[in-house]
Amino acid sequence: MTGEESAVILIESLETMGVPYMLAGSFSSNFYGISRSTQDADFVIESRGVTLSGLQQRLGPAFHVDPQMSFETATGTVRTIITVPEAGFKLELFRLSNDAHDQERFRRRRTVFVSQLNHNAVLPSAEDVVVFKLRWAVNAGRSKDREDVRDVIAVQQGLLDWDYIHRWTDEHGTRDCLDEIIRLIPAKFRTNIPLPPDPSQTSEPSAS
Amino acid sequence: MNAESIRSEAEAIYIERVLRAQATPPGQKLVEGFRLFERSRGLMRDGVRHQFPDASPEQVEVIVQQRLDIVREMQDGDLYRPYQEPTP
Repeated sequence: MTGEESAVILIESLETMGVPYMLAGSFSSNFYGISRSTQDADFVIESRGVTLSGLQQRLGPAFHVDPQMSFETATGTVRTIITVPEAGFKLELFRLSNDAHDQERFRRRRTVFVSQLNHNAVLPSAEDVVVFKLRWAVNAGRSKDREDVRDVIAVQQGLLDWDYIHRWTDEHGTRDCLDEIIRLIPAKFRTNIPLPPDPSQTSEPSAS
Repeated sequence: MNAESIRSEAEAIYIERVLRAQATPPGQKLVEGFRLFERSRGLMRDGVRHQFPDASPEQVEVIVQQRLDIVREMQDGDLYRPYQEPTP
């Protein structure tokens, strides 16, 4: 079994169990940005009524659902890891939290048919990928999240709803990080992106 | 090669990557994430076989997985803490 196949089996299982989900993390930024390798696939699930033992039973013995959940401190969600030994791959389930952006991101999720998987997949919007990854970039300090944000903005060139992104980045205190990342994008990909003047380029007023 | 020419070359490479991504169907980019992982895992396997020529295929898999787990632990840092479901 490959990582790809294991993700499709998980999606089918969640659908059969009636569990609302979305594929988040680097697979969503790959969808909107530039592909990169990753050894796990992140899912956000609305977990009401879902038990880990029920999920284990549905997935079967090729999957190992870790009974030890963990609390993620960057955005405050609970994670369960599912290992697929044959694929050397991990599937991570993040429980939908009460956080306002987590809720809105989940509400705005969209279903797309991925012909390469011959299956539907549910994904967050491109704007929500940017907003969410900025929180990780700032709160967890991971460089790969900054790169993902840069890539999504560059590839989506002109298609993003900046009012929406700014509303959340102002609320999360991640606007400075966003502006800093935008300045790293080659000029040809950042036309029509609102950006304040670069503070490092602003000269001090003359004393005379 | 000075710093400015390196920066300029890096930007040209990045522009090329963005243009390629813009021309690629999003679904294909999504599955590339899985396939790139398969490829890098294959390369890791080759590296382990080279380092431990007497290792069995099963041992090679174990070592590859240990190395992937180390990378993962380093990336996670202290972001995660054990969580216990509150009792009702």
